[in-house]
Order: sequence, then C-alpha cells, then structure tokens
Amino acid sequence: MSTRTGLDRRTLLRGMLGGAGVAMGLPVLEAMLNDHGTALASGPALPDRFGVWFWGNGVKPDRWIPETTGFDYTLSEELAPLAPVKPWLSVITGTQVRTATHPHHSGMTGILTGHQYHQLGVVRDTIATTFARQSIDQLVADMWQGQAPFRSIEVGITRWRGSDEGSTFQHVSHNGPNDPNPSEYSARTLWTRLFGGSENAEVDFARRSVLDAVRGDIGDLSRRLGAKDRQRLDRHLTSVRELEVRLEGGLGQCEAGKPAEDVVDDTQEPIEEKNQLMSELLALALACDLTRVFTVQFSAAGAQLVVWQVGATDSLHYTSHTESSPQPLVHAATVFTMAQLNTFLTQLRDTPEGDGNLLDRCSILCTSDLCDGLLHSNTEYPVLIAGGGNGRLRPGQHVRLPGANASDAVLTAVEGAGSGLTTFGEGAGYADTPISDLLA
Amino acid sequence: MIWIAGMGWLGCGSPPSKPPLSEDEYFEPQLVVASLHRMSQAEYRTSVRQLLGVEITTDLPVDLRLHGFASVGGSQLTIAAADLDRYEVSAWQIATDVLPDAEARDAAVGCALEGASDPEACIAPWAVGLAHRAWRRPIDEQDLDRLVGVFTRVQEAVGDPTLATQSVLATVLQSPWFLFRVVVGSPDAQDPELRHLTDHEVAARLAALLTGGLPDAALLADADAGVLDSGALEAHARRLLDAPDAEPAMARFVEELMNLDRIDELTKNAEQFPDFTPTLRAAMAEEIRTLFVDGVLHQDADLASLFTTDEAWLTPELARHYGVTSASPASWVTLPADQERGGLLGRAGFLALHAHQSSTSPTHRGLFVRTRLLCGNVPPPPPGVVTELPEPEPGASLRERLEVHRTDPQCSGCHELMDPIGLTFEHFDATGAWRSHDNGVPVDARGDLDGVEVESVADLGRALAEHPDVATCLTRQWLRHAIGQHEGTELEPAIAELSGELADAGHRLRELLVSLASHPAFRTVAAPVGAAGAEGDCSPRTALPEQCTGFDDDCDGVIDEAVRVCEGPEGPGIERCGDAGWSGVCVHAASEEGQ
Repeated sequence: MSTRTGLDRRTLLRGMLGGAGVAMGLPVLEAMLNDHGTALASGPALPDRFGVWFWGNGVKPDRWIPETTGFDYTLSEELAPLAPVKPWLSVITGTQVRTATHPHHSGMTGILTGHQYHQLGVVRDTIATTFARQSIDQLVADMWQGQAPFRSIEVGITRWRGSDEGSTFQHVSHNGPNDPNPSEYSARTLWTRLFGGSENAEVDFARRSVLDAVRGDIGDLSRRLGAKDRQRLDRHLTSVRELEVRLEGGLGQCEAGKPAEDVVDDTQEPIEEKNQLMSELLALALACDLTRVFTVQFSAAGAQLVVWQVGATDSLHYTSHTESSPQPLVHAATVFTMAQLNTFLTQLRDTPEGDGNLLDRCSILCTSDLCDGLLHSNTEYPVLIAGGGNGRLRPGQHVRLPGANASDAVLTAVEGAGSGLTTFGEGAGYADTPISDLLA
Repeated sequence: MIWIAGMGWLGCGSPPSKPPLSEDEYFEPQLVVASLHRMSQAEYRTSVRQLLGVEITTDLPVDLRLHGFASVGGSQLTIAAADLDRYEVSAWQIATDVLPDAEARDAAVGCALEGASDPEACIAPWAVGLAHRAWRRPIDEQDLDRLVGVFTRVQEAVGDPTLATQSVLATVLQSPWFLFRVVVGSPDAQDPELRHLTDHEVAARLAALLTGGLPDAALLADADAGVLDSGALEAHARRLLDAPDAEPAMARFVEELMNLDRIDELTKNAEQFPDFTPTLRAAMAEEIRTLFVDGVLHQDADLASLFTTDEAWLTPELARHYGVTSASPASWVTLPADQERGGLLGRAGFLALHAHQSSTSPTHRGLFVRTRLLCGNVPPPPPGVVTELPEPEPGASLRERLEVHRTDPQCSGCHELMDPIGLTFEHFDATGAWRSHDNGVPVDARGDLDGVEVESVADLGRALAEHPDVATCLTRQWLRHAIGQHEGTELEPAIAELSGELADAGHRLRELLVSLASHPAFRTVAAPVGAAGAEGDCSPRTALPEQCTGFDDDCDGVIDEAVRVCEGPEGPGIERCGDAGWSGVCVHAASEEGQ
C-alpha cells in the first residue's frame, strides 16, 4: 500500500552512483516537459534551488585571486580544480565582511547572516557564541516554504572534531540563537531520512496519530513556560508540523534503490569517499525535488580536519598557524578542498534536468569563515557563486570588487536563486545592491 | 585548539570595535532562566534503558557542549527538523523492539488486548505508569485521555492492537515531557524572582546528575509523596551514588571535563606514531574514566589522590605504551615511578588530547589546567597577530621555540598563564608516551604553577591539590553540569559555600555531590522572563503538573484531575483524585467492564 502522491516524477535510473549502491532518481521525464524542455508541461518553471557550500579556515589569498577579471579570466592555482565547472562559476574577490570583529566566529556569522555573532556569557572561562540571526539558507527557505517536502537539508562531510565554543563552531545552518539545523554526517541516516520513510499506510497513520498527540503535549507544556522557552517549543512544534506534512503528502517522489552505506572512517579520514557519497545523495535529493534549500558543511569553522591526502600531519587549523610562508601545505589543502567542491558541482552538472542540468537551476554560495587562517583576516573574503540560477545568473566570470561589502555577494547569490529577497544583513553588514554584472 | 580557535572579546591586544548589536543583544547576560533541559544523547539512552530495558542504536540529535558541558547546551537547544526526525525514528524503533508482537505486547501491558471488550481500560494503567516514570511527574486525566486516545484512534482505524500499543509508547517517547527535563518550579512566597523546584523536578535533576537518567522507583515514590526535603535528598544521593548507573554518569562528567568524548576523533601523525591505534586511544579514555569513577565512587578519593596516584587501569596495549605490562583484558597496574606521571594529568589520554598531531602543546596543556581546573580566564590571541612559531632548528627544543611567547610582550601576558604550567608535561609526547629527549635535547620539564616551582607532572599534581582554586573550580564545574547552566554571579555564594563544605569533608568528591544535591542552589531557579500562569485564581501555584492537592496546580481551570496507577484485586487499575485526596477506588479493566 502506498500513500505517495505526485508519482509523476518517480522513476529510476540505476547505476549512476557507481559502487555506492544508491540508485538515482530521474527527476523529470522528457514527456513531462514542454517542447522546449524549459518547464514542466503543466506550466511551472523547473524548480529554483539555493545552497551554501561551506569550508573552514579560508584560503591563501595570493594563490586564490585570479589575475584577470571578466569572462576571459584564468583560474588561479587554488581555483584550478574547478575548471570542469568554470562556465557555472562566478568568482568574487576583494570583498570584506564588515561586521567581523574577531575571526572564525564573527566571519562565519558575518558572511552567513550579514550580522554580528551573539556571545554567550559575560563571565567566562570559555568562549562560546551562536548566531544572532537566521542564516542565509533559512532566509531563503522561509521564502520558499512549502515548495518541497523538506524545507531544507543540511549535510556535513568531514568529521566534526569537537569544540565547546558554541553552535557557531558546530553548525552552518541556524534558525536563530542556539537553534541550529544540525548537519547529517551519515550517508546511511540521510538516505533513510530522505527515502526510507514507511510506505505502509497503517504505520503512517499511526505515526501521524502520535505526532498529533505530541502537538497537544507541546501546547500544554508551552502554557507553563517563560517567553524564551515557549520560543524553543515553537521550534519543536514547527518541526512536528514539517514531518506531519511530509507524512500527509508522501515522503518522496523518487525511489532510491538500496540504502547508502557509510564509508569506514576510524583512522585516516577518507574525505574524498565521504564527499563523493554525500554529493551523490544530495544531488539525488535535489533531482527528486525533495528539497530546494541545502547546506554542505565540508569542514567546520576553524577547520580541524587533517588533510593527510596532501601530506599534512596536523590539522589544517594548526598548520595554518605554524607553517612557514608561503605555507605550501595550507595551499595544497585549499586546492584539495576546491577539488571536493568540484566533485559536488560536477555531480550536479552531470544530473540532467529538462534542457539542461541541475547546476543550471542552482545558485550556491561557496564561502568560508575568514580569508587567511594565518592572519585571521576578513578582507579579501573568498566567495564563489556556483550555478546558473535558472537563468538569473551570468556565471563564468571573475568580478573583483576591492573593499566592497561581502554581503553584496551573498545578496547576489540569493537574488540569483530567485528567492525574492532584496536585502541582506544589518548595520555594517547591510546590503541592498547585488553585483549587477553577475545577474542576467 | 581552543586558544587559537577561540575568539573572545577581551583580546591581549587592542579591543575590537564595538559590535553593531546592542549590549543586551550581543551578550546573553546569563543562561540561568531555561525551564527546558533537552536530554543529552547519553541521558536519552540511559533513560530508555532504565524505562524499558532496551539498548538503542539509532542516531540521536547531536549534543551541544557549552561552557564544557552538554547539559548547559541542552538547556539552550531546541528540536530542529532534523532532530525531530531522529527522535521519531528512535521512538518507533524502540516501540517495535519492546512490543514486537501480541505476546510481548500483552506481557508488557499486563492484560490480553485481543478481543478485549474494553481495551482502553486495559491500556490505561500501563500508559499512566509508563508516562509517570518517563515524564518524571504526576499524570492527569488529560494525559490519560491523550495517550488512550492515540490507542483508540489507531485501533479503530487499523484494527491492530500491537500497532496501537506501540503508538502509545511512541507518544510517550516523543513527548516534550520526555525529551526535555522540565523545570518550572513553584514561586517563592516572598521573592517573585525565585522559584523552588517541585519534588518531581528536583528528583529528575538528581537522577540526571547521579545516574544520568530517570528517577528510580524509590525516588519517584518520595517525590509523589512530597517528602523530598534536604535530608531525604541527601539520603537519596548517597543511595544513588552506590547504584550501578552512577558509574557511567560519573564517567560522562569526567569525559566532558577532560574532553575525553573527543578521543574517537583524535588522529596522530601515522608515520611518527604508527602504534596510535583506535584500540589504544579507546583504552586511554577508559583508563581515565576508570581512575576517576573508581576513585570518587568506590575509594571515596580526595583531590590529592586523584592528582597523584600511580595506579592505572590498563589494557596490555596501553600498558606497553607506558612501558609496563598488564593482564588482559585490563587490570590495575602501578606506573613506573621514574616517569613521575602522577594522577589524572599524567595519563596518556589527557596528554594526547591536549597535543597536536605531531608535536606536544605546552600551551594547550597549560590552557586546560588554567581554564578547566583553575577556572581562570585566558583571552584568545588578538586578531591579526602572526601565530607562527620560529622554524625548528637542529638542537632546539619546543621549550626554546616557545620562548617567543614569553619574550614578545604581545604574547607574554596571556602565555604566562599557560606555558609555565604546560612545560611541566614535556616528558610526554603527542601520544602521551615517555620521552627523555625532544629534538635531540634532553627534556627540561621544569614548570611553575602560580609561583610554585614544579619539576614533574606528579609535582604539578601535588601543587594543584593544594591550590585553593582547584576545589572551587571543580565545584563550579559540577554545579554547571548539575543545573545545566553557566552560573551567573548570584551563584557565587553557593559555590563558595559548597567548596567550603568540600574542604570540610577533606576534599572527598563524593561528599561534594551529596552537598550539592541538598543545597538550595540545586533546588531553586530564577523565575523565567515572561512566565505563563501567574494570574487569576491559579496564582501563585502556577503551571505545575496537576497533583491531588485540592489546587488547580496546572492552571487549566480543573481542580484535582490527577490520576495514578493502583493495584486492585484483579490487577492494576486507575485511581482518580477525589476531594483533595486519592479516592481509594481502583478501576481496572475487569471492573469497568462490569459497570
């Protein structure tokens, strides 16, 4: 028995994921498109998608910034791994995060919220911060509420190595202070969440009945609490409703073959394999239109990962503070990171949709928590926008804007995504002028 | 990497420009008003085991360790969409594990559901008993209606009493009353800013602190009876410290205190340290956990012995790492005297965690002692400072390379707080193994703890045991962990009082927990901002779970709608509250059938 509705996009394309054991959902059948392959025959345009691809600890700016600008620019050493997706790439250099006071924490919140962070506790022997505002992915998710079964999906790639410096150091996506959307690091668990929902109508009925009762409990408890705790329970309630809606509407529109299996990861971290697996799964979720908003936390703020693949024996963070200039290992780790970004972007490029591919429909903000880890600098911020934005972006160029507000770049990404947002950030981080050269 | 990663506001250099947020917005003044404490992963797992006897393997929402402790983060976190999905998967997995079929179902609920004329009456006592324990509070008619309502709804729609019973269990486990420990408190008669935890709330807090889970039957019964005064709490604390679940709960405290929960993520330079295996690092964490748990719970250890003991719980692999031998799978061994490791701080797990992948870090080790054991404040490096150390030259030890920290005035102000302590550990490499030389130079492990010169880790341990800040700091840390809050200044008198009691008890840490359990700081909470309730006839007994007391405790306009499980001649039933007292009438399936 199936409770699924909207089976119009349900089909299977097995084998695209190689050895990963995941079958690929083919999103839109040719028969369902109009004659030009630009929209569904039934009318609506192919879906817009917005994402954030985040890595920690920045770049080496002198080897990151391309020498020339415009469409004819040559990729820099650190951007070279992205050559296969260069036509989909907008490279923005020279901007600065203007709200940043201290690196990592404030760079992270500055670029993702256009705002200062929120420090927890005046009396302290540890430092802890959280986001003061919603992160940009959630601002877009608000605009697109209800368009896909999952409001947003968050995934993490490299191991999170622990910190008690607060949610800023642990999570990219935030709904507000201490209200993060945790990244899923397990491919198996993500697969189950996306595709493994019950198909048994009786069980789904029971699940909905339970959630209905839980909603009642949340309401009763909420009456007894102060304003702040009521807000926390409001989030709980919102989460319950999201699951209820998914259960009402059916859990998905694709089938996805066998569950994904996690890569064994107990000593030297198999970063490439983990990234490949998660990139495939996320592309599948997008292709199946399970979500239109996503974040990828390749590495957390501060980048505690060890990129042993390039010969590093210490964490990237430590290396960035100890290696002698010109810091060849830090540079190599940045190149490696961009190669991982390329894996994801080429996966999207190679997933056909309509007359083009998934990457054509996306606008993906790719950025970090600072510019240069050695200096903790917040000028020359590394920002890329990947994707065609469903025709709204003019990718394939390098735009250099010395001293400009990094929030302008973020606003460009969300306008390019077709989010409907026209401003971003507050105070020094406020932006209402997207980078016009990058918009069609 | 705390000092590099940490971005504080009080840099060693010039202060940053004023943030664009207002002062109130920028700083959360205190985290002391939370009424909802989301269970940590460990607390959830322990609670499920205590409640249902099953071990769960599903993924749970990740913890947020704030100010050292997951309990502090838990008092701030919400349940985001991804969290909720994990809780839902877990609840159903547990429900189907515990109630897989009709036989298990009937055994659990205590009556035969198949063909029962009144299955709701059969389900009710089981559901009330389950919720009572899981939600750590009295149960009322509304709770009962809701739980039985889930059963009825599923049963009527699907006709599968097993699925319907599983649904009741899944509801109990997904309720915010289970996922959060709720601390609302009852208002103080005089001070509107103060609330006293109810007996049920303090029982839940005590159980979470000492056993990492739910109140057991004896504690819950005393909460039901309303007799948890400070004497009773002290007695329960002593009893629970002897319970089997006290060990893992104590282990989790030391894990968080010493960052042992990160050891699974720890890697070392594989070429340099080929013996640093997953089993070795697991044994390292287990060694420290065992030393602390056995010391505090079973040896009634004082601070000095924890910092100076030579006894170690070692697997053969870890014993080789120390240069001694041990029986399989693990046994108590005396460490080599000439290494002068001392207690907790000389153990490989601590030393490896507070080091880099290839080299030691006197700064990190010193930072740990300064902040985590002395509760001192170390500002992060100022923005824009170049943090590279000089390249190693042949024959230059790390101590010599670190000289720049102590001579450059931009660095020395802060590094003087860390490096002189951390250099004491230089005989132990990045994996905690003994070394006599560093980069070809004999190790010089002389250090200094606030003016006391020390020459070994054992020396440092002795100096720490006598340092007045250590007992106060440990009290502070334990209070944070216990109440799930970073203490505000108003708790300073309590910390002073408790650490005074600890000193009076000869610095035996077990006694600290007993003192804590009965101290007012453990049993009161500040009134939340924008509190619900305090209006109309309900005031001042607002917003508590309904009890059988003659008051409208839960402020819902209905007085005494409490229910409880009773034992009648024909099995368990439901007893309702009468005129401000329990009715004494036990209604169960068979008797209702006859009505």
